[in-house]
Amino acid sequence: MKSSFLIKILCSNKDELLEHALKKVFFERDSVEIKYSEGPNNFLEDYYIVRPDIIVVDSYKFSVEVINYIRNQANDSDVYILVILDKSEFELKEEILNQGADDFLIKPFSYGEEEIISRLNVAKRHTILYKQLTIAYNRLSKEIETVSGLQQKLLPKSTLEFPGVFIDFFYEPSDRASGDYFDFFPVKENILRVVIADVSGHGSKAAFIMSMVRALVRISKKILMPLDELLTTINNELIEVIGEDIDFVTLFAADIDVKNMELSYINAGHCPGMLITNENRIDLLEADYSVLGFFSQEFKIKKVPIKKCRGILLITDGYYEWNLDINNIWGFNNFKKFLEQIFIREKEFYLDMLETYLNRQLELPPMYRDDRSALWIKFKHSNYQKY
Amino acid sequence: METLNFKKAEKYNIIKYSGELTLDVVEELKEEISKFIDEGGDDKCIVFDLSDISFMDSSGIGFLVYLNNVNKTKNKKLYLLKPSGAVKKTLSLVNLLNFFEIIEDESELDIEIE
Repeated sequence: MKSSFLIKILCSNKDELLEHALKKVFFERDSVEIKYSEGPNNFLEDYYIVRPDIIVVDSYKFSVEVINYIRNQANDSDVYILVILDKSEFELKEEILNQGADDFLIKPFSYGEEEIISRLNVAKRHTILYKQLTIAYNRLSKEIETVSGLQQKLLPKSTLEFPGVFIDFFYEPSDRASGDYFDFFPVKENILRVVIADVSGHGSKAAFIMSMVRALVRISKKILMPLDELLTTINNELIEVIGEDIDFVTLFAADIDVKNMELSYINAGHCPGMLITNENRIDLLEADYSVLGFFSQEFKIKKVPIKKCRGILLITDGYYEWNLDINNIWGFNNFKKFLEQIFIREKEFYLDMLETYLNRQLELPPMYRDDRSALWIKFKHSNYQKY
Repeated sequence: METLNFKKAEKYNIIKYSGELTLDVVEELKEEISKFIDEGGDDKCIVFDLSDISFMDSSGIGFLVYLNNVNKTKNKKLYLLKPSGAVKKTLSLVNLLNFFEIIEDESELDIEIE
C-alpha cells in the first residue's frame, strides 16, 4: 500500500533488523521521515521535534516511561506505539497494552524479519486510516462551520426602532448548526410582526429547513399576509419537502398592534409565549396547533389585549431543556417560576439580565444542550399616544 | 443507559426503549425498529413502551410521528404504552398528545383488539 501522506516515525534506538524492515514497508516513493533517537535521554526531546505518527520503542522499562508520558502528560492518544519487548519480558505483554501501547513484538524475532514487516504494515495501515479520517472529519467540521455561519447571517443583526415597543434579542448557538430562527419587522405602520421558530434536530439539514422557513416568513414582509395564511403556507411547503421524514418546525408568530394595544398570534407547537402583565404575572400563550410539517391544519388567529402588559417574551426550548441531574430536566415550569421572580424584582428587564440571573442565581450554572434564542418585546406605554 | 428490547406477543408486538430519546439515537432506532416491524408480518398492532424514557428532545418527537406514519401506511396501528412524565410533558407542549393512541395498561389493548 502506497501512502500519499507524510508518515513520521520515531524509533528509540537503531536496530539493524528494524531498519531493514522499515525500508521494506515504507517504499521509496512513500513520503516518510524516520528518526532514530540517540538514547533514552534524547527521546522525549525528539518526540516534540518530530511529532511522530508511529513510535517504535525498545525494552519494557523505558516503554512504560514513554507511554505514560505520551498518553497521560502530552495527552497524545493519536500516535501509534509499537513496543519491542525482550523475551524475558514476555509476561508483561498484556500490561504494556493496558498501559497504552498499540502493539508489541518479542525479541529475538522468532519469525525473523517477516514478523516485524507484518507488524509495521499494521502500524502503517492504522496511520493512513487515521490521517484519512482526520481529513474527512476536518472537511465536515468546516462545512458545518460554514453552514452555521451562514445561518447566523439569516438572524437579525441589530434591533429595530418601532414606535411603542423596545425590541431586545439574544442568540447563543450550541456547537452544531441548528434550526433556531427569530425575526421582527413592520407589516403595517402600527403593526410589528414577531416570529420565533425551532427546527427539530441539528446540522445542515436543520439549517436548510430554517432558511426555508425564514424565506417564507420574509415573503410576508413584502406582501401583506395574515398570520393564518402565513402559517398555512409554511405548513404546506414543509409537508411537501419534509412530510415523510422525522423533521418538523415549531413556530410562534404574532402581530403586535401598538395602536389598538392588541396582540394577534398563532402558536404551532412552540413553547408558550409569555405575556408579562403589569402585576408581573406571566400569562401563557400556549400552542393551539401542532408542529408544522407533519399534517394539514386549519389555523385561526387568537387575539389578546396588551394594554395592561409590560411586554412579551418568546424563547426556544434550549432555555429550559437541560439536565439538573442525570434523571431530571429543569423544565418549562421551573423556568417560568424563575422568570416571575426576576420580573417581580426588576422594574426594567433585558435579556442580558436574564443571562446574569441564570448564571448566578441557580444552584449550579445551567448545562445547556441546545441553541438558545429569545425575543423580548417591551411595550412602551408612553409612546402609545402617537397613534 | 439506553436499551432496546423487542417482545413478540400473540396478538401484538411490544418494543421497549429505555433512556433518552434524542437525536443521538433516533437514526439507529429507526433502522432497528423498522426491521422488527417488517418481520412482524401481518400483526396489526405495534406497542411502543415509553415508560422508561427519562428525556425526549425534538428529534424524539419527530421519531414517534414518523413511526406512527410508517405504521399507518402498512395498515398497522401504533400504541404508546405508559409514556413517562417526560414524554407526556414534551408531547403536550407541542400539542401532539392527542395525535397518538396512548394506553396506560396492556389490558386496555386486549379490549381495543377485541
